[in-house]
Amino acid sequence: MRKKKILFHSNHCLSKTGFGRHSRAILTYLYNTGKYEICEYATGLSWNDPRCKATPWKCHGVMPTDQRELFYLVQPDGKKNEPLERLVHYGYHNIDKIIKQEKPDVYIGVEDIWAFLSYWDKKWWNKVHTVIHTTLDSLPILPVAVDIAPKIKHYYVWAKFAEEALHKLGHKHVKTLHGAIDTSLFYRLSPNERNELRFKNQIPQDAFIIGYVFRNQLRKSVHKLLEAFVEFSKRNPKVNGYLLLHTFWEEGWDIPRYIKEFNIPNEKVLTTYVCRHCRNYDVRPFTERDINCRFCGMEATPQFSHNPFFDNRRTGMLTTSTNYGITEHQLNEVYNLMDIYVHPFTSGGQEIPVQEAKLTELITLVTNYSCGEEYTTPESGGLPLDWDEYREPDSQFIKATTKSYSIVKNLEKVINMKEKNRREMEKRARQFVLDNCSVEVVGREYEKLIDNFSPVEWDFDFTEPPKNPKYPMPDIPDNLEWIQDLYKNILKMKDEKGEEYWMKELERGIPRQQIYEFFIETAKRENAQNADFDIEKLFDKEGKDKRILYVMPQSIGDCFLSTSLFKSIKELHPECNLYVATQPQYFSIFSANPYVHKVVPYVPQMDDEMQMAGHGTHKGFVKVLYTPFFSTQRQLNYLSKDKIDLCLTKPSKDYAGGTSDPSTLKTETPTTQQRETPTFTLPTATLTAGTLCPTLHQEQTV
Amino acid sequence: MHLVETYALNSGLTIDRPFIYQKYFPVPFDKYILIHAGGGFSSKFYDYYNEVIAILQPILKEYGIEVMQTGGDKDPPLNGIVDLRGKSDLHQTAFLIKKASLVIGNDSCIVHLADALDTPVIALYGPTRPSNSGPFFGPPEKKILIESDRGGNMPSFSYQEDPKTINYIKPEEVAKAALKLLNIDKKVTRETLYIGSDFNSPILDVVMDTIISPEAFPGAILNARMDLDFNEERLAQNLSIRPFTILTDKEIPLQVIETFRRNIAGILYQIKQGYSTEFIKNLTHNGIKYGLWTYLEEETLGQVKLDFFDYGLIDIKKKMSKESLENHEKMTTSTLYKTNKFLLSGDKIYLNEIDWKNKKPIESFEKNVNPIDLKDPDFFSDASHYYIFNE
Repeated sequence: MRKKKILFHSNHCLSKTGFGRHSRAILTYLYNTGKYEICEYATGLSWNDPRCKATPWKCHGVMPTDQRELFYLVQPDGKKNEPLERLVHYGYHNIDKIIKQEKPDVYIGVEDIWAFLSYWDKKWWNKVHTVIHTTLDSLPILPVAVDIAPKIKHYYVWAKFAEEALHKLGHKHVKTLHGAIDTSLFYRLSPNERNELRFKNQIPQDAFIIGYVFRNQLRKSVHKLLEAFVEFSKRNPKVNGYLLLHTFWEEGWDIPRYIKEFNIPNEKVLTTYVCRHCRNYDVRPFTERDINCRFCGMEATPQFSHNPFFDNRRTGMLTTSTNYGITEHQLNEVYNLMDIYVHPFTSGGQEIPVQEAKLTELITLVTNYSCGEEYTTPESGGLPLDWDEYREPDSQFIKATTKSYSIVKNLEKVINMKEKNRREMEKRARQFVLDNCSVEVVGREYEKLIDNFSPVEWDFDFTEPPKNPKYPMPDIPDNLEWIQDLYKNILKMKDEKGEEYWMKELERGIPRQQIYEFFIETAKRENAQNADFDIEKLFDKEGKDKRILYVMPQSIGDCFLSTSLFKSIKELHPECNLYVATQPQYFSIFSANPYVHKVVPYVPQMDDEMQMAGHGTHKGFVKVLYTPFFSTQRQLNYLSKDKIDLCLTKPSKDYAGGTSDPSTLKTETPTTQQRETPTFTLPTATLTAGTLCPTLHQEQTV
Repeated sequence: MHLVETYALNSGLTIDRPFIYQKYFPVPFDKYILIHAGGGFSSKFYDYYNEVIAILQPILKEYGIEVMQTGGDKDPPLNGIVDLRGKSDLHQTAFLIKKASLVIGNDSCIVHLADALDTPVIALYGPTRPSNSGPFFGPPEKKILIESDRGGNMPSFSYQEDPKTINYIKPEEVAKAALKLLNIDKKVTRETLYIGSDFNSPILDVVMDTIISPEAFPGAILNARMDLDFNEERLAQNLSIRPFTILTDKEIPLQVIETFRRNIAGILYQIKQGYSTEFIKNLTHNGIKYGLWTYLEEETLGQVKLDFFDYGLIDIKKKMSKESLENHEKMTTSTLYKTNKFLLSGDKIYLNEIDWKNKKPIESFEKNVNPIDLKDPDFFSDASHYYIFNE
């Protein structure tokens, strides 16, 4: 029996995001079963990204490799289309290609829900076993995630609160499956090792360290934790409290400012620095600059750069970020420096640091909202933080502001616990993650699900039968039969609801002619949408080297003036067919023009000479491309030049004109007439292009 | 269309001769040619001027013609000629060009200057086309523009190319063109068959039976070939006196790494059966740069990839053979090869591992042209470092 084929669509395994780490854990698990053929469809990468080679299973990125292709994809009409750009980055453009190529039995999409917009209307959606495993982090549930629930047979969410909300809305098939975490990476070190870590990082042994690991700062209520820390320290002077904020200090909130505002001594706020060179880390009080590495000796860049993410020239130790982070092994040590873990956040899909903290046997204080609800139950070894509701502008979602007094109250609860009770609770914290979020548990759920699916017979093809917009209006007396005939012969489909609708419209007195025209228009539109757009198809089969393309996107007057240049094109390239590109409404101006072989619709790719005429291995489509509109319609370069030093018109009896003034031409050839008296004998009759501009036609020989 | 024509047409202006001010520069020779190895961007740089010089220099000597290099001080240096890089300003360079018998260069300003100053010029084109950006003004008989065939592709117009199409031009083509413009009636007998992609990077490998003094090869970083002789003690001795890149297929003891961290420029680790991820982990903790590569087949790498997932991409290499090289059918026992990769062992210099095993050293670094070895198939596994030609 052949292995079942899985197409897994999520962030690439190497990315350190929540989705990326989940993908890596699950795919490694599934790969190690040896039961499946896996293909990863990785968001964030291009189709042939070198990183695709890092995985033992097949992998393709979602975006086109050719940057030019990407450029035209996200701005099909010359303007940047942001929703489209987002879809392309989520994999919309290549999804059909990879489904056709891989022919999977199972499609598993683990992404934000809007990554899958419109997938459920695709022809393969119900042929393949489709599983969506998505994060929903706020109430009310995103409308699109609710609307599509009936169309997703296997619908999983990362957190219980989302499952419950969807159940309340009647979508009982939605289930919770947590994001998977590799539980072997995080564990509690022995007391000796923990002491040694503090010693290594120059932290007092009696310090009570309140830890917080976070990125995406604007979704974290850091200031509430700082506020609570002040209050907690005031009320518990005997506790040698420290905050350990493991985060990138150049993202999001201005934390140093809050520290000053709350009068917190600098040495009380620790953070993790990591060396750009040797990747050793150092937990120490935050200073507002990069520091020298005490391990490899690399010195910090003297000038603090404010281009945090992209400045590769920075040296020494920086606070950790997703770009320059520490390894899981090192992060485990950071957790082992902590005595308690606090996670005040506004909303979130998984909040991996809470899980990691629990695995290192820390009691977790988490905002009791969103995915946090599950981390704060007694059996999860957590304590709930109270919160106030606020609404997020735009989305109108409910978000949480954690109450700082609740943080203080719960911190005190923990320090006042009996040692035995506290250890029990800490151990429960770890057990909770092992039972619910470990890769073994979540991976097994995936495995069970996949094993229940039957293999897919790949006997269907993707091509839509073409609609027939040329079908003549049928002469059938019965209205229903007439409607059914239109569906069958024009749109090539059956649609009972549609029939019902049109029957009502006919009863309302809408003339048959109007309805017929609507069907014809629909057929034309759908044919156009279904056609794979290919520039090559605009041309005849004469071959690239026999084609000239003259582009003038608009408008009618410019097109008309352009026709004056075509004779010259044909004289230069008598063997070539001249194609003219413009918008369809101007096509007719070229009718019966003896020089024009064919008029084709303008598309933005035609602006690009390298794309059209070829470069490198790309052969292109035409031998010569003319885009004179650039200097008249895009970047104006003609308005102020009243005089020119060229003669650009040919001697002809038919017309006279041009900007060139023969009296200004620096030529020794005598001019016969002045421009003021134009006649049908051209003023520059003796000046041919050859004598005036000898270089214009000079062939450069190699 | 040519750039100049585009300027003219877009502006409605006609084209006349260009102008450059020439400033005196002392020239030590009566007759000389200039080579300009720089230019706007790296894909325009021809990498084999040294081979052109090797062909031309003996002939030009007979005619009393010297070879000099102009250009910026960051241009690639050329061997055995008068180096004027960074020494003359633009106007002095114009003076030098005016007095030169010939200028050879990449698609660059220097070529346009030569053309405008009526000096014979040879220009080489890869990512661009002479019809767009070639010398425009001078008479055709004074210029030879050599355009790469680019393997049948169009010009890329790109700042970076891999492989560089300009390098498809053979050194002898340039040499022949030079003799033609200099009116020297001599035959060029060289026929280039294959140039490996690493041929231009000089490499000094050291077998770890040898100690290299810190004074030798100043500034160069040598490769410690632990894969040929895994001698920890010798490695430590070498590292204690100078920096090395280490090539190995076995774990280097942590103690050596920690002690000599500052003298380890990097480690190239070949993954074989029995590999160690712990070793690579230790390297990261010590801040040592490393590269991973293997000869293992892609299909057998599943577990290997999982094991090295966090440690970077593995370069999966295929062993080169004679048959994989272009023009291999023209290679005979009299075919020669040249390499800039040397293997030092004892006080001897070898050109490859086979010669080292067979104890066939060369006399000096200059004697790096030898007949190819058709008997040992492993000879070609180093082919990326070879320049193979018939003479």
